[in-house]
Amino acid sequence: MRMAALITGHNERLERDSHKDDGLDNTTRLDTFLREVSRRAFVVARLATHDEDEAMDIVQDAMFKLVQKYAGSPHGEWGALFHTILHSRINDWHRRQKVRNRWRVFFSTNEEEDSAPEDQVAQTQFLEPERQLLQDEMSVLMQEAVGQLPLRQQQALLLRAWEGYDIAETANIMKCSAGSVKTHYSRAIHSLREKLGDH
Amino acid sequence: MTNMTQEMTERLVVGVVKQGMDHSVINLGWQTQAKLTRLRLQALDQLDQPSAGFGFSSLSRGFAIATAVTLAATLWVLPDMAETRSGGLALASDALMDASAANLDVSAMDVLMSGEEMDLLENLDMYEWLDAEYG
Repeated sequence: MRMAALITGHNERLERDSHKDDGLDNTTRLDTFLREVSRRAFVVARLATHDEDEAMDIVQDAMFKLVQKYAGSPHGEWGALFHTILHSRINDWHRRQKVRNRWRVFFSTNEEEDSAPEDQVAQTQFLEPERQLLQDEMSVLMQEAVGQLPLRQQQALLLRAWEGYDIAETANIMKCSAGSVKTHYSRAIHSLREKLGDH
Repeated sequence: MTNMTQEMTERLVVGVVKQGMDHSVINLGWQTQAKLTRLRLQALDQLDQPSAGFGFSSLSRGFAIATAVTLAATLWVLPDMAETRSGGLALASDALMDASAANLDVSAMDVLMSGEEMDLLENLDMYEWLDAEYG
């Protein structure tokens, strides 16, 4: 009985908090939304691209598009809209990279092949300065493990586990079926469990 | 039983993912946060800008053109009037200009010579970001 009252109280508080900013104008509300979402979006884009500048460009595109096209939409929908744009941009980036890499391999010269291996992996070392600052070893390992997942698994995992979207919402954002989301998510969990299991 | 183990494993992995991702958001450098703040403000600026073609009514467009023409005509005529009016005044104003230029040089030198001011200038980005975030 007491527990039920506690839960009801909690729900009422949540309800109250969700309407707390009803008096705010749209620009202030959008500013608050973007302030919260942009940092998380940057981390997601950085994991997907392994490049801080590219990640910054992707987040910029997503913010601009949201403001341009959907500023007038109900603010409850901004989250899903923003993530749809963000992940669509990430997918586009990966597609472009694939084409670029194909041409790069096609035109690669012997000189490039002879270059030192550390030069070739230099771009993927973006986390190095930050890694030194991170004290939690598990967090670093997790980021590496998530960064190594295939893109679709990474997206399904982060949208479901971190952003808290359900299967249907994730499927909408990823523009795929609910079944695909389940498969990607389960594979990601399985893969992470294997990678992190030893630690 | 197997399902329960799988569920527990999933919860554990999800917990680690959340913790790790939250950690990386908290640990973003101030430069990155400053860039994100700048981009956010630029994105929001679009709301203030009227869309091209529909922002101005024909009345305000006409008024803007009339103002521009008047201003151009004034600037065209004004230098001739100034030249004819004062020869002696020119000398006095030259002296004033020299004095103010010298003052500017001195204040520029002050900024350049004092280390603290240079630190402030070098970290201007950070102060701008702090102002935009917590202002």
